[in-house]
Amino acid sequence: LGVVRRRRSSPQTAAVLAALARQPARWRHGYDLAKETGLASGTLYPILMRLEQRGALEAHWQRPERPGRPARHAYRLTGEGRRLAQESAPALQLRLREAAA
Amino acid sequence: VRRVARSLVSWAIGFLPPERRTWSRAVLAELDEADHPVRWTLGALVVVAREDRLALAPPVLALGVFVCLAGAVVADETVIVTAWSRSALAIVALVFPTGVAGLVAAIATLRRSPRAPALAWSFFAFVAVVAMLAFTNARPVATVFSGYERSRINGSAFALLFAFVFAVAVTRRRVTHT
Repeated sequence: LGVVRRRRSSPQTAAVLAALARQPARWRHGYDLAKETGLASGTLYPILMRLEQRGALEAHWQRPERPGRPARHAYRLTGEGRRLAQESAPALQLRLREAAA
Repeated sequence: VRRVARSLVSWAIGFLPPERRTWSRAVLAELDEADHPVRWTLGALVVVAREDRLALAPPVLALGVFVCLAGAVVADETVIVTAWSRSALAIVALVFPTGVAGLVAAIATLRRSPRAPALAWSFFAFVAVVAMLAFTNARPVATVFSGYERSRINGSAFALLFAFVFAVAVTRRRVTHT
């Protein structure tokens, strides 16, 4: 009957969304996000890849800050991403409270 | 460490089709910032594998060869010869299969066969067990463990190896049949 079921974000995805949503206009780098969320690169980047595929994330290459350094990939949420972040925020808060208890 | 890690990941990225290199390059670009470059590199390899599992075969093979070479350089001759010659089983079950696994994995990688990653991991598993056996039988370490403890460690290593090879074989069969 054409029922659309929304997939619930995993706690890791919710944490990434929350980190990006804290400063939605700012372009963030992968390493900063990894430090803020405590996720390993092997977990973080697949999440970022999925979010971009879903249209929740925009990414672009930034010029190197210093000569000799590589260009860095930067990320920020799209409108869809901000909506997803809002949706997943209460669930993340609940899980964090459960974990703390 | 960073330079070796960068070369390893760049090499693996080179095996990806150009249109699927963006995310792997993105992880690599952060390597200079990372406090733990080895952990970051492992993550980069996960991303490479996610784009194309085949691209992971060359670095895994290279790691295996590196461990072999490092073992040959660091461990003196007596360690390797004594450790292996103590057990005929080790020679039959490890030395010969390690060489064969390495050769088959290298050929599969060069031919870009879909089986290359599984074969490369199998080679690496053999190398890891050989390294553990050589290490636990080396003189300074051997004195720490009793003969019984060493046999337990070696037995566990063998069990892990066979479990790994079995798991790879089952996974391959499942993939082939679906």
